Amino acid sequence: MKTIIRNTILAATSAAMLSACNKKLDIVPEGSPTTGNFWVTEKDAIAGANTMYDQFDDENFYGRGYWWFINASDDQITGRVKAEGDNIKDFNRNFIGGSYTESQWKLRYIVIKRANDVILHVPSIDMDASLKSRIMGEAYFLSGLMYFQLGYTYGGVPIVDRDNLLNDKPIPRADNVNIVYQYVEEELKQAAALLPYFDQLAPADYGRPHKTAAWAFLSKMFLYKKDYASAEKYADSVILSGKHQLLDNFSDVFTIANNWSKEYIWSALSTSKGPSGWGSILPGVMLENKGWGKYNGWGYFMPTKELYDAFEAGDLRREATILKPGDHFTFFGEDMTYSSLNSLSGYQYRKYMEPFSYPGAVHLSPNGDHPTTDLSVPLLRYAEVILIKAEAKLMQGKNADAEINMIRHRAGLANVTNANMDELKKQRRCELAGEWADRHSDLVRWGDAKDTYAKPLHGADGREVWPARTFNPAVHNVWPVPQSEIDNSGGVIKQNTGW
Amino acid sequence: MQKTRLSNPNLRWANSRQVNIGTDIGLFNNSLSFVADYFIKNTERMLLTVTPPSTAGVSNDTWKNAGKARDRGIELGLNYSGSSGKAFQYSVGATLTKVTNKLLELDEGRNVLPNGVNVRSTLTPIRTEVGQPLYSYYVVRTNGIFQTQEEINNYKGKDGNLIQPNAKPGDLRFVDKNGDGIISNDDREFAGSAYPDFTYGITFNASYKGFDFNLFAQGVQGNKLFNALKYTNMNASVGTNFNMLHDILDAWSPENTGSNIPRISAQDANGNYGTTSDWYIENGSYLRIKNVTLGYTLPATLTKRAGLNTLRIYLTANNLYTITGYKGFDPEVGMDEFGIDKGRYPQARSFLFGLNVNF
Repeated sequence: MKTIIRNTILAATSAAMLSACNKKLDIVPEGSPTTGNFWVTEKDAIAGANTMYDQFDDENFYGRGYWWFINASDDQITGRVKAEGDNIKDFNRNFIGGSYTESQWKLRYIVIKRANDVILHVPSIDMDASLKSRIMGEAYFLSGLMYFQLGYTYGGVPIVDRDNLLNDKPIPRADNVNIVYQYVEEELKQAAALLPYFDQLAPADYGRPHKTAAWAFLSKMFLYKKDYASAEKYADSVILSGKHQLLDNFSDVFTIANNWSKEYIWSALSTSKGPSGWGSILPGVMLENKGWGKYNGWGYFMPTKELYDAFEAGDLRREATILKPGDHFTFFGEDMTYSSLNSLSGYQYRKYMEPFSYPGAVHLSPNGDHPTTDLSVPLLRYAEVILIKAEAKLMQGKNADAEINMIRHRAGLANVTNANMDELKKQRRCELAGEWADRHSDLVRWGDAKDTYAKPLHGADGREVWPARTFNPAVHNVWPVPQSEIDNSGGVIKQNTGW
Repeated sequence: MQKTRLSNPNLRWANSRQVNIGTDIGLFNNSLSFVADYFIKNTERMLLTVTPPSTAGVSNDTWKNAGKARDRGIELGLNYSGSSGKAFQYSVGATLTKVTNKLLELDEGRNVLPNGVNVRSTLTPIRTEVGQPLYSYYVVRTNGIFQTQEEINNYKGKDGNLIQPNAKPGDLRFVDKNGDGIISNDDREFAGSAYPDFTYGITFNASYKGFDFNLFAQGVQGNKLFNALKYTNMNASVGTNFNMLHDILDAWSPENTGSNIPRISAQDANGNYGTTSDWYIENGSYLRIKNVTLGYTLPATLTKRAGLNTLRIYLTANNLYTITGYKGFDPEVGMDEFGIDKGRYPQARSFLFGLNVNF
């Protein structure tokens, strides 16, 4: 009997204690949030939006990684021996699966995912309306920009459906690049509607997207899509906004003081501050290998004689773009005469050398393995918008002398009349050499790549530094999909034919 | 604030099932003992990080129950203690272990588990594929060195074009395994792994009067190492102006045609160094005398007079001697990079002299 009573009391007490597991123990977890408890406050919105830019510090984003593709053009050579880089320039598929360009998809889809998260979650957050609108605009802009870059690089790419997220299920590629461009158009138009103008941003927010940047990329996308009327229309939106103009001196464009000048539309925001700097390492990548003992230059992407000879006599841009043996320039506060121990072409790009001209390394990242500077490297600037308008007009059979002469005038050249596409191509090349405007993509879309690459490239002393290459327009007009994408999707993602 | 990893609500613990069959035999009053063990271990629902498709937009891999692997092996041990009861006592032991590993299955129909293992972003020798041991070498095969231009001109593909048009005498000849007339990643094949055929150890203990002697040697046989040090330090085209290893003086030249080191080239147009090939793979087998100790305990009568209980002096040598054919610094490279030797700091031989005192 006693046992029964004792057991019953024991059981009852246990039951009572168990039911005391009440809500007091349900506390909000601290530490890293999970999707269950984020996207609630304005602070969450700002944090979630700022993280969209995080990947732009990766050395393969606006540093060297994508530049391996741009390097394929006839403006420069790899600059030093690098088997994988050389394979990329030669369209030799051996580089697939190496690590230099493998991350290009992943980096961009990370940005897209973060932009999608903002677009999905921020509308329901209770916060200041104009800040919300700006943040949404940033997300649409970055989403559109990423898909644009993926599109012209690879062709049809998977488009993540925001209304039907598949998480880790692989998404098949879009059938062709025009579907991607269509999506880019929708995203950038939304962005343009929501974003403020650049002069409405606070200085602390410089580097965030703004309205004319969205229009500028719309015009570039339509140019690539060969929808010349729309390209001209959006280029005009930028031009007629009155917010931009060309700087008087070409070399002034690439100075730290002019990071946010009237010519600025969109740049890779960079800084030297912090233990490793942040942003684009391209200036350090293009600097002479080992920087004559003063800074850890990487020594890649050295210009060719073909580029040097492309400039007309008297073109002020030539000396501002290229350093040749014997040229004088200021390096670390001192006058130096250019000669190279390491450049395989004998030249070096001068365009991004301004941060290195100051005494001491005041504008340079303290970490030579991540050589950013205070110069925000231009990705799309006003001069290119003018050239986009000129090309769009010419391709519609209209006269583009006004636009072309704006560019020529700033370069110190005389006006031309009845400029044709050859003149346009020359101006695009000379104005945008060594920039993210990407001459290789230009040659591909003009159909000129095969003939241009069939000629060898030469160095400063006239010797051949790169042999003639075979370019197959049916295959090499796009770059191959990274091997890891094919593997990780279990074969759902297919490689571009011929690669 | 961003999402860096996809959660996996279906994640479970991995499951290992092991079957052991063994025997312990003692003979001659247990002075000779023999141990043998055979095991099969099946691991299911292996916890692996799997990279999701890029469209998931996360930078970290997802933990998944991603596969099934099997380890099979045999362990043998033999020990003999001699002359018990006599002044000179000794014992000899030997152990031998052989383990083979095989990846049986990956989930979701995958065949390959991708990895980012590389040497200076150029060489990518490791591949994990179903049906092979984990982390095997997957490389292009080489077949000697071109001695003359004629050999290069005769090395043609089915369509009559030169397979290695950029080669010069002194460059490596690569095997065009798939017969497509070019040397590419499609010509790669599996070439062993850092897992050894077997490992073994030998111990020897002896004591006589006050002396004690101990020897331990350890060996590994049949493992393959990827001597990546050749890429940075025998490669004139690496572009970073590193010092070169002494071996490069023996590189192929018209006066030195017997060498198996390709010719020195600042351009490396043939990809001697830039190609992930079996030229880098070496036999990593070694036998190393890990530890030798000789000690002497002073007679109790002497030590008691000094007020001590026991006093022992000893001399120990660690890593005394290594027998190996491996050309790198030290064949004990370890598995953290799957046998890829990027110039791992070698183990030192050391001598210790010591005193044990009991009060």
